[in-house]
Amino acid sequence: MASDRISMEELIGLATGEMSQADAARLLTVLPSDPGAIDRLADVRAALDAIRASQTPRVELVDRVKAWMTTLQPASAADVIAELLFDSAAGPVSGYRGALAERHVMYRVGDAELDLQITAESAPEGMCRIVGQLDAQGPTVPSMVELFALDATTGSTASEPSARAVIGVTGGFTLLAPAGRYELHLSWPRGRCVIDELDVP
Amino acid sequence: MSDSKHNPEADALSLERLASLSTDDAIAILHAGGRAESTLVAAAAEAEQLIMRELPRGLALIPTMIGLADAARLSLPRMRFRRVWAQALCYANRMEEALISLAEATHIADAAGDGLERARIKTTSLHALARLGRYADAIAAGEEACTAFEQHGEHEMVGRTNNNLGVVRRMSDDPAGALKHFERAALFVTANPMLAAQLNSNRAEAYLDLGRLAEAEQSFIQARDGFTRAQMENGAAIVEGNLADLAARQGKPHIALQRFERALRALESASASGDAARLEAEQAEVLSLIGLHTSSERSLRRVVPVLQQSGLRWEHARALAALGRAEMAIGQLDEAQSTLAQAKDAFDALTHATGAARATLARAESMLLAGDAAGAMRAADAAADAMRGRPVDRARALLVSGVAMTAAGELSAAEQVLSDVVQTATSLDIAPLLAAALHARGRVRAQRHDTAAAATDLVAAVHAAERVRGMLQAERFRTAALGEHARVYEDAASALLDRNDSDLAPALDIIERVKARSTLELMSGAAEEASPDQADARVLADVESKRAALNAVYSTLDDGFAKPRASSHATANWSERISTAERELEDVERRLAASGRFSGAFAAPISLDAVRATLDEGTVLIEYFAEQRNRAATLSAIVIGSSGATVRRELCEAGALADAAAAWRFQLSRALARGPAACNARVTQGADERLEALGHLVLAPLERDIRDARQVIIVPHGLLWSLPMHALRLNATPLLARSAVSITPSASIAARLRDVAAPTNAHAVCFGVSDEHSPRTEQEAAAIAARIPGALCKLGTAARCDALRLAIQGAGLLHVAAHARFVPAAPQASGLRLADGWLTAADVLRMRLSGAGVVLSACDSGRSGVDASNDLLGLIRAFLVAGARGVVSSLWPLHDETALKIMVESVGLGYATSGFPGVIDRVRDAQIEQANAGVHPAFWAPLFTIGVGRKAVGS
Repeated sequence: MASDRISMEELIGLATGEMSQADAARLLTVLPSDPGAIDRLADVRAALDAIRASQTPRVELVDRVKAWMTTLQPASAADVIAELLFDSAAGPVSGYRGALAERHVMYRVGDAELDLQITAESAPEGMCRIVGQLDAQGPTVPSMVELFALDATTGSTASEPSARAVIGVTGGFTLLAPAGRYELHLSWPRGRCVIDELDVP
Repeated sequence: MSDSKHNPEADALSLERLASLSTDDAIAILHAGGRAESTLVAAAAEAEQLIMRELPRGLALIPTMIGLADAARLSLPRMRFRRVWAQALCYANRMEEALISLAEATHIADAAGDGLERARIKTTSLHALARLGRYADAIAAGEEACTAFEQHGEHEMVGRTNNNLGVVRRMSDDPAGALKHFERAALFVTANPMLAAQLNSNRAEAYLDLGRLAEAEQSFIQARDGFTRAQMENGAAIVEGNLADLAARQGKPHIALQRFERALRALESASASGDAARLEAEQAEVLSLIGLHTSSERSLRRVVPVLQQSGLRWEHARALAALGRAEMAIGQLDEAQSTLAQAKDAFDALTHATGAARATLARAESMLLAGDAAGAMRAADAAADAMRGRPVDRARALLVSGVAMTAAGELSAAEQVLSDVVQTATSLDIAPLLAAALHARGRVRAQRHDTAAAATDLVAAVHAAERVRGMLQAERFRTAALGEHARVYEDAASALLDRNDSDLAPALDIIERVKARSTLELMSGAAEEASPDQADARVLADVESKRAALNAVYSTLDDGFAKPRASSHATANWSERISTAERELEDVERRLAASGRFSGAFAAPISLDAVRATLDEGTVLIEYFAEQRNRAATLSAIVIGSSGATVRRELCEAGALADAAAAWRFQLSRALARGPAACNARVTQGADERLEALGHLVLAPLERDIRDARQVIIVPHGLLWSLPMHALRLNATPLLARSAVSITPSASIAARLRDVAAPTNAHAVCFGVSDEHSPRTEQEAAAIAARIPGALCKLGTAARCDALRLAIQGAGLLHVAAHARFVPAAPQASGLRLADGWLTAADVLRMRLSGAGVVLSACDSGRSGVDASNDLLGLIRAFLVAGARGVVSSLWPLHDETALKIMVESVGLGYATSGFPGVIDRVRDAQIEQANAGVHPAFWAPLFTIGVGRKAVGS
């Protein structure tokens, strides 16, 4: 991969339309001279089509997007701070005559809003379902969301995610995880964000 | 042992000390002291205490002491140590050896001419003889001992021995004979409160065997109080546990749970971990009984190791079986199979063949659920073989085998086996088994495309299930029973529709029987929660007692896993007891119905013709119901208009509906987190799309039926109760913008509400309680009251529960603006927060509303738990039962400001001009206005209506 003249990040930018017109034009002029890049671009486009066609991408798609993410240059991905806007667990919700039935948290992530609903309803025994939606005007697909368990004693983060999903074209995703404390990692071609200490009751 | 601290000489010759010496040394010391006999007799008494504390140590020491007593050639110690040794062997389950020791002791007593000691030995032999099944010998020994004790004036021993004789009589299947001994024993044990308490406990068990429940309860209570007075807290707690078990058998799980809790607390504080674990296991079984399988599983998982460590082997086996069944109920099938295999091993180790076979049968059921039909068949057949000679158990095993054959596709063989089960259940007159067997056979026949025979079987299954339901005691328990059989009703309705889908009356009759049935009965004035006149009270109490008795008889069917009660006596005269109890219950229910006031309590639901007769032109009633089609749960609907009815089947699969509902709930949650001001067009569009998707599933297939309807009355099913049916969209339009929408728990309830007259000259009652999170509630209540002449308004600290109970008398409208909550785990605890506390659903059930319309401007006030029998649990049900003619309430958190906007004009002006129907009309108008203005449905759609407006009926 390191010897490729056209990076994976550029190919994703081209395929998703995130790239400027000038950069896209430049890329298209060099693309024919890099057969490997042509193949990889076709691969990216096929995966994007599949993601857009389904709200719940297949496991192999998730793995493929995960592989792309690892090829991106870390320096090129901007860290975005998540700002907590709302947490129904913080106490009675002002303006209502009662409490929300299910836990709901909302963050601002850059220009986008991220909603997370944490519920045991229709989840397998002992598990919670985390239903999320990244505002459609936020980071574009493909984006990846991963849940890493936090060690209760040391506070260290697990090396492997407990759950992960690709965020589809509607911005929606679902994760299943047992009760515990987690870090939620959100990453997309040009940015990433870590939400720390997400409690799943 | 404590005496030894004060008596150095006795300490030197204690049991342990004597046993540690060589025989020669011990004899020398005993004779030197000149008190050989008294010292050895004291050591025997010490040994008697020891075996109760530390049996293994006692078993190790006593043989040495027998040798010592023999060497000392002292008759009394020789007899005493042999008797204690026999007691120890009994505790160790070595009955034959115990009898040998007692025979030796008797021989010594006879040689010594000691009649009193012989009597004591005979009394000890009762235990071993009875455990070996030699009841006649045991009774003869006891009778002989009694005579001797009487001759020697040993009155307390007469009482003790009669008590033991009573226990033996119970074991020999003679509870009536046992009672005679207990009565006699009672004359001699008055001076010993502990013995008297034990006697009362035994007497209660005999009453239980005879089905004399009231006397059993009374005796248990006397036993408990006696143990308490004797400061034997453990004994009192154990009897409290027996009372709990009795309540569970009578179908009073709520009382059972309370009593278990009291008993557990007492045993835990007494550090009686084994007894506490035993009771907790029994409590867990009651939790399962009322559907709380997860709590039950958690509890059992905790106590199983404690029971094992405590050496309570029977209880351990029973708890393992219960745990396996709880795991099965919550879908942990692999764990269930493993646990049930352990239960079988535990029962095998106890040589309890029936327990082992029942565990195997439960394992077969879990295999069936896991899709292993062949394994299930093998296990069920093995259980059936082991149950030979127990027709009821064997029929149950064959039932599972037949169902497994069906799953394996062996339909012909399955039909044959199930026919045998039907025959057995019919001849033994066991309604629950008959319902299950007919249900299973009906499904086989449906698969074999014999639709007529299938429908016949399934309708007969419904009749059998109805019989069981009518017999169960408490309203809550009846609901649970109906839930268990809900699938019978669903399949029967399906079969009737398969046979003839142009005649919908029989199918609707069945469907209505599993729609909010208990609510309908309570609205009609049911026994448990109504406030009867004094004249009716006695008859109602009689009904309750008879239902309890019948329920207890049925509960004996499950005695394989329950406490090892005396014998098969309770089931021996099964058929006779059932028919007698049913006849008595029918008689007293007929008297109750004749009193007029409670005539609806046991009434059948409404017919199709009657439903149609209640519908105005332009009104359509949609009754949703569940069907199993091609092994998938699907939703269907019967649509009824004033001129005809039609059925629309397989509208959507349950799974697809659940997914769509979850997606809607997420959009709802998004909006509520933002509040109305921050919900932009994209957020609103997301919600509208979800409501459109839901409308596509459950309304679009009915579009031609409802296209021209002015009013749509919806009877939801299951999950639909959580959805805003009036806000579901068809072609981008909410349903309520096309037709007025009213929700009803059942068609029968809709018809009943229609007949509820509005009170004349009635006043309106407005209550408002604000706080920092919802500051508009008092303003809302005051503004509404200001628009209704003569309205009674209570705000803030004046809005108290007792004030509401008082104000509601004769009112035409109750409007409450306040905080509210829905408690999913205990819907009866859901309530409205007034100034002095929560007005719960349970409180509302005790109120009488005389036809008032109710508006609950409060969060989650319209949320209900929906149980397996499609009955509602929560505030709506409570207000309907209390006599409301209609309810406007909220499905989710109500936005304070938006509620104020909708409610003031809708309720204030609506009621002032047109009464409660006017309120309904105006709430709908306000909702349409908000929807047209692009307001997110999270803020206008929570309010829904039970009851009918004026516009809808063209008035």
